[in-house]
Amino acid sequence: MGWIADAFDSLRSLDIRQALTQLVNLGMVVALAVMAWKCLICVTGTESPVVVVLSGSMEPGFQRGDILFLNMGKEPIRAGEIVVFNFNRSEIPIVHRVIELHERQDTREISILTKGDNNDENDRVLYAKGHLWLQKQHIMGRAIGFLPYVGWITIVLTEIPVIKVRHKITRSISYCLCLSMPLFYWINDFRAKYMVVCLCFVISSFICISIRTSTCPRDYGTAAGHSGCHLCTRGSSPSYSEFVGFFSPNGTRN
Amino acid sequence: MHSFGYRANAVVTFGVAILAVMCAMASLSVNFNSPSPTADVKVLNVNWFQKQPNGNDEVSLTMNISADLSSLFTWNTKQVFVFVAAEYETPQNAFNQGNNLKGKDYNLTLHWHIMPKTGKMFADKLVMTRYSLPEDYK
Repeated sequence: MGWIADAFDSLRSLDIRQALTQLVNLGMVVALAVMAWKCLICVTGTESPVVVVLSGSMEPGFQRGDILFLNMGKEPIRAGEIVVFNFNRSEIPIVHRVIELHERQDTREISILTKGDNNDENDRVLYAKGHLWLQKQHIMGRAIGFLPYVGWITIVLTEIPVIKVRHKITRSISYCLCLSMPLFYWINDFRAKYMVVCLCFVISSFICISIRTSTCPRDYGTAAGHSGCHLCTRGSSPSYSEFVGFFSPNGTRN
Repeated sequence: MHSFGYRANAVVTFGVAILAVMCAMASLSVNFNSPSPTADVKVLNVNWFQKQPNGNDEVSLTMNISADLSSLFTWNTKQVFVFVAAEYETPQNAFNQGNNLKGKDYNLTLHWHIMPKTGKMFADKLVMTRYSLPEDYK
């Protein structure tokens, strides 16, 4: 274990001022990451611009482990669009397609019915008790972009029992380490290594903040809790209320 | 510099970088494709037109849909989701719904949503007008 002793030696020889400067730099990079994320929320108009598909009720279009980019947009929602919705903030959002839409003449309110492409029935069992239709305030965003397989990192880190990591910060750090390891070896300069670690922290915080979406295929269980659905793990749904907090982008409620 | 760890890391990083570039190129290359689909929907028969117990009207149509959507498929297309939607107006609702649809005019629209292998999802439609429901329930 000689390398531990070596690490401690190098730590002791560090100047306090230098260490503090680097800490401040790290803090600035983290703040930059949070700022960039908030800007993305503002620009897209949704509360979670990047989501991961958890289950297979939109197959073969969206498989488990795919990433979706969401945008809200000003155009009215029409039938056939793929929307992300949830009923209250603590539920895992669901990504399904709009199959029926009604708009009132006077108030321009809309009522929406959704269904997953791979499901046999529409989503009425998933809606909150007493609701037959979705309203505009339940819609979080529309899917406009797609990237396959990248979401498996999130799924692996949150669902495999062996390395299940629930807390967001720990997940973020673990992503960061995974991403920075390859580059760490390549770069010899200490400052560059440090900047690379910060950059990887930025990217990993993007990935771990992303809300996971669930599309329960067949076993609905109770509509409120999805307790019968073995693919949905609602216990650890990362509610980003601690990040969104007092910052409310236009048009979406907090 | 030549240990297994270094080499594995170099390979993985290079691989991920190449994958990212390929994804970007695949999604951008879709812009060069100019689709020209054609479609025609004929309503052959109104099977039934009834009032449901909950107050809404229900219509069953037999349609003959002929469409040529082959120009929509590029090498980045995973799935094209095609459906026909009926749109109509009532005094109560500007867009859809109603429970008194006798003799109503409606549009049939053929929508298609292109789900890509990577990148942006496109959607477009073809509106066909001047269909109408029969005057009486049957």
